[in-house]
Amino acid sequence: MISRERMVEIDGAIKELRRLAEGLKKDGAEIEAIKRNAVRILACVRMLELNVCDVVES
Amino acid sequence: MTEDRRIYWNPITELLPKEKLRALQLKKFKRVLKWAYDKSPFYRRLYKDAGLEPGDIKSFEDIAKVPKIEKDMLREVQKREPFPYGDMLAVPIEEVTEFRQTSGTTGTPVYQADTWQDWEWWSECWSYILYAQGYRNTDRVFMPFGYNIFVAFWAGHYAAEKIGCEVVPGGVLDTQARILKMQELKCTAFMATPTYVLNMADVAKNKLGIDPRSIGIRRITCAGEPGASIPTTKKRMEEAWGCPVYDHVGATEIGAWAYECTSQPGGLHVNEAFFLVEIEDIETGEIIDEPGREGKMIITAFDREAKPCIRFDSKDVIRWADYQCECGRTFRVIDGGVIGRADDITKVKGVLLAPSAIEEVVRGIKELGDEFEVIVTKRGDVDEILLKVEIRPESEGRKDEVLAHLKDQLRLKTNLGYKIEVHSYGSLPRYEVKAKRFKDLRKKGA
Repeated sequence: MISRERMVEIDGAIKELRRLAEGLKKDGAEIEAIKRNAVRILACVRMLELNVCDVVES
Repeated sequence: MTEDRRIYWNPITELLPKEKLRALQLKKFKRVLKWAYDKSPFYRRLYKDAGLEPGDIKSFEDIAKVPKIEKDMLREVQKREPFPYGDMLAVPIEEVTEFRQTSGTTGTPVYQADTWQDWEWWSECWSYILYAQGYRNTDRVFMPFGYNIFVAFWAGHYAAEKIGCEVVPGGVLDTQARILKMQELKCTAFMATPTYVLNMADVAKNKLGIDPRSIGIRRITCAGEPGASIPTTKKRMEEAWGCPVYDHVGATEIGAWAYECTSQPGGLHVNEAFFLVEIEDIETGEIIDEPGREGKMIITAFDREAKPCIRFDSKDVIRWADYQCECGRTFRVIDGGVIGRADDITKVKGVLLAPSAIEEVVRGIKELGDEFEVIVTKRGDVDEILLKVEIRPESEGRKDEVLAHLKDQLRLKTNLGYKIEVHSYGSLPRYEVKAKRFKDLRKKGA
């Protein structure tokens, strides 16, 4: 089983990914190519959250 | 317990100790309940009418206080705005990217809205399934299904891609063309309903003169029907193709919620990180935790945003297993997969009859073909059951002996007598998706 410390590190990286992708979606709101790809990235980030962050936080 | 982490799609969730898994489930249940209450007018009405607020759920035991939903409610809500989903929708309609619908087997189809995030979630659920069944990036996976309005194997396609498999879409090809393409490309896996897995083997052998075992398929994943969890049907498929056949269960309005792993323990793991499965006594409504006792499933999908699925009364009949799977996953196992449906198990001549019991008998007699049909009628006050079967050409000479054996087995396994009709081999309907082999005409007054 992966260690708690490693999971916390991964959790931090995922949170950083969300922050960056949310920023990209907001900053690129006027450009469809940026906004729509950011939405797709965020959907993948959500899957990482379900797989890791939810467990770390519970 | 095995230590090889590579057998798990996500060891963080699949090996989670029981108590942590339960804590995760409670946290996620509260989250989806609040989401639905805040975002979906349907759920808000439902819970307000019951005097329930999300904050009322503090413990696992409190979950039973949350009103259940049923398929009829999903159909009814579709009459409301926004078209065509109704106000169960929990996101602005502009965020919906996917339309699918149920097959309508039990009535008016239910329309299912999904956002792109939901669609990612679908393929994530399926990734758990396929990885547990041994799919890897070395597989070339053939998809012999009609890509259309039904969920079917769509998410299986995307999950196989996510895992890194090479995916061959066999959409509009006919059965013979599909088999030839699988052979030409040396495909290693495919996904289909049990009915179609058997049908493809039959076409390969009898129309193309190809032994399906020679194609090189290493694994098959089934869905849509319970056949891959019915031992005699599973055996037929595995013998025909010369490889393991794995079951999984899912539904359009729920998601893909349980799967068989390569250990094949005789049941399916519930993905308890993504779903809460409760088993309810059909008569009393009591929640069943002990193994071996059958009840109907009440299910919650924790992470679906467009159309949340909270305490859905699926009518699927299941029971917890009394054994641990040797694969090491802590996700609980439902013994024998989905045993039947609460609304399919019907009384005939005063005896409870599950259609899967007839399938188990027919598929257990090797002289019979794969297809059969059951028709229940009423003559006066007496129920009658007609079973149509096919005898394989090579066994025609032993017809009387085979039918006597069939009648004995049916009596033994179902406690009922049947009128049996033998049809020429290949004449009963063949299906590509969900087969309709059980017809109860008493309800129509026939």
